Amino acid sequence: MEALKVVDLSFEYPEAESEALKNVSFSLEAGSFNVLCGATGSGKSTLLRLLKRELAPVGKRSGSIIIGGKEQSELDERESVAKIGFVMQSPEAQIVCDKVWHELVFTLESLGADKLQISVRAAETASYFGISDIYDSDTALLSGGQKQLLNLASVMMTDPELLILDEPTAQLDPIAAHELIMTVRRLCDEQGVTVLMSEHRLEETVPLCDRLIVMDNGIITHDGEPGDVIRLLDDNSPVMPAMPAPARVFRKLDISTPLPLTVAQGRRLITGYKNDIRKIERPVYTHSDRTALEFKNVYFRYERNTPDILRGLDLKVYEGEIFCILGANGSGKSTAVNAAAGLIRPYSGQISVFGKKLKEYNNRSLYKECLTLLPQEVQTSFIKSTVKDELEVSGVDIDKLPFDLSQHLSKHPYDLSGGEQQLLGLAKALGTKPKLLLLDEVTKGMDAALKLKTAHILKSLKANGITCVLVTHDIEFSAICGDRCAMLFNGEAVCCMTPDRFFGQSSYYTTAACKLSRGHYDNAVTVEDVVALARRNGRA
Amino acid sequence: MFVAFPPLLVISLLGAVSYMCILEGRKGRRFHIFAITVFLILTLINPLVSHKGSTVLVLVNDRPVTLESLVYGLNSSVMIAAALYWFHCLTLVMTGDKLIYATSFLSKRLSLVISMSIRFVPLFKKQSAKVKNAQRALGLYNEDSITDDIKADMRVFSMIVTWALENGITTADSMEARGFSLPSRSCYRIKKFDRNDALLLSAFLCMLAVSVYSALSGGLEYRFYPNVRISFQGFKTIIGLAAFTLLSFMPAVISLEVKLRWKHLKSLI
Repeated sequence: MEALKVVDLSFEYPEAESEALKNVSFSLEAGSFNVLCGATGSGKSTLLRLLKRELAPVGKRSGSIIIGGKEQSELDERESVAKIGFVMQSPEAQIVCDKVWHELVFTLESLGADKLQISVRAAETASYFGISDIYDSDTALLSGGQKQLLNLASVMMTDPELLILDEPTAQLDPIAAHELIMTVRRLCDEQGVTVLMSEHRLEETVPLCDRLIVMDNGIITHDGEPGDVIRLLDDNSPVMPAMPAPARVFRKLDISTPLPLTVAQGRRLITGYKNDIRKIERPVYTHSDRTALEFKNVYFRYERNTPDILRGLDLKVYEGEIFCILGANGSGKSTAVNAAAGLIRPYSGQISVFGKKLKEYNNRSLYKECLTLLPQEVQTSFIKSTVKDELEVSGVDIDKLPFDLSQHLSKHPYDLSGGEQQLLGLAKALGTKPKLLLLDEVTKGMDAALKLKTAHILKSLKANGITCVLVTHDIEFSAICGDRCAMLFNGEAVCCMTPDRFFGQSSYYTTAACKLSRGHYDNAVTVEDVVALARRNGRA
Repeated sequence: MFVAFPPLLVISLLGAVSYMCILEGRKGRRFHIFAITVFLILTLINPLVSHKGSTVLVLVNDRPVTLESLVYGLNSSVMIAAALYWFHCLTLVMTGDKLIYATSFLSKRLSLVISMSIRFVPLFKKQSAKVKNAQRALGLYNEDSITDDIKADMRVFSMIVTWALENGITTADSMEARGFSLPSRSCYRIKKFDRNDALLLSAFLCMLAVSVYSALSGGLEYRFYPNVRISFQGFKTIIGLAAFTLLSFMPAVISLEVKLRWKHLKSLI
């Protein structure tokens, strides 16, 4: 049975030059897990919002949306609220109430359910989603992952048949994102919910999904089983770099069997090559001998009675390199860069920037043509109402930027997509003409194409002599653009080496390409590396 | 507080202080210091500015300082200190969820608005701290001058307002998607109004009524000028004071009882 059927849906925003959706048709089987992908601005959000009547944007619409056999406009109001669940991107802004339990019961209150109904439902939902231990907490105290899980749970309180998620993991770290995606898959399998989810994080979702729908410029270009879709995709498609590494490797190697989606499937296929050549020869990495940033035995804690976040951190970043700081949540990555930027003060140890102690930078001279930090929540760096003013206030010369923002100049910074906001933040950071640029999670909210572009931008900055320190969860990103990587654990740097050695020797905390080729190749960290080695080896 | 009958005020103050001590224990030291300072200042100010009364204690700058105005000042300070202590206890006891619970009987929407505001205030504070830090590291607070800092602060503030509105749109969407505009909204409460609550409420109202009766029937007469006179009029005064004593000490007694019982129950575990 079809849970959702969309026929010839077109949509145009008022005063827009072209249609946001053009004759979109597809249908979803009941109880299936469907992933919608596409570059930023391809119309994914518009499509998803049109499916939920309460959130439908204003504009000219044609075509029909049939939900559970009924035309959308004929749905009863209460049915429409209860039967279609919608989870949005921002974990924070979606939450309405101050207590977790209150948030959870919100929809049932709207529907006028009685006390007994609500308490039973809240109890079982909280147990299912594993949020019973935070049931009485303040929503403000939850982590991003917990917030998003709560949003999902609140939506599931009314037992919806169709669950729509609009980039639910864009603001989450990889572990929280993984947990959320697994929960959604579980809902699909155990409760028979039909899921339609738009995502940038395809590496993880594609192997789990039943169907992959690709959108480009308001048109559905591909729609089918994930393996087939990846094979049919154009090489230059903006979603291509986001696809699972095993599929990309074997697509490039042109195998005739179905494309592998998981590492396990890929490892089986890689044995089909001779694999006598195990190593890619790389030039030995040399760095300048002048240090740009140095941590010497740095200790920090937020309050007197809380545990240490940094415990004797020692780290050296040399001039002109792209240095990646990796590590799990709470390992002290962001704390370390905040300390380097002088925003928080360690209680012991020393931080120096270009050989000069932080203390010796008087009158905020640290931030003048020396060091700049772009914070994790990039929206906090915006203070003007248009992109143009934003660039002006930071003294940015638009023509000299290594990337193009000119088509966005008249927009409000908040109206840009997450990835574009990051670029604007980066532009602002460059306005202070820094020699040392600290970037906290710069790839947050970026789609795969934009990530590649960002990697190029960072390399061009490096060529201009700017030292970059990236704090990131994004292993794949640091593999393609980092010169050296350090892993923080428990407030200390446990190792510090070039990406090929760093990822080559790790088994868990490493790129998918590395996992795929482990035991066969020694230092293949990117898809390109694996493909190159496999080609040189030839088939067995 | 509407009746400044001195014994009544002393009882009220004692009730409030003992309740707060039970609630906060040693943590309340700073508040005590604050309250005592306010108390002393207010007591001393009145005789210095008001020279009414018949018993002159000393002459300051040829102006009399009278016993009556000192007593009057003392009485007012007791009243204000009692009010301070009661309100302090209220802030300790009245957490957000209790407030929402209480207002939900008045209006479902009002309690939701309160719930949203309670959530929003700390969020707003946190965001301003973040924006300030971000701007500092991006070199917005460039010059080391106060006027520049204020200008930058203004820009930050205006942006946070925008941020709040922007967030508000998403929140509104989220509410709409979850049926906020449907008619016949119900209100779920995790607490129950049970027999004990009813009992306590009726006891409270009963004692309040007795106190009010005593005051209205003239049982609580007093005057400060020209000389201090507090008149005790037998039964009327006694029941008024007794009822008010019970009323004032009820919170302290109940919370003490709960504390002791919990201690006992814990010892059994």
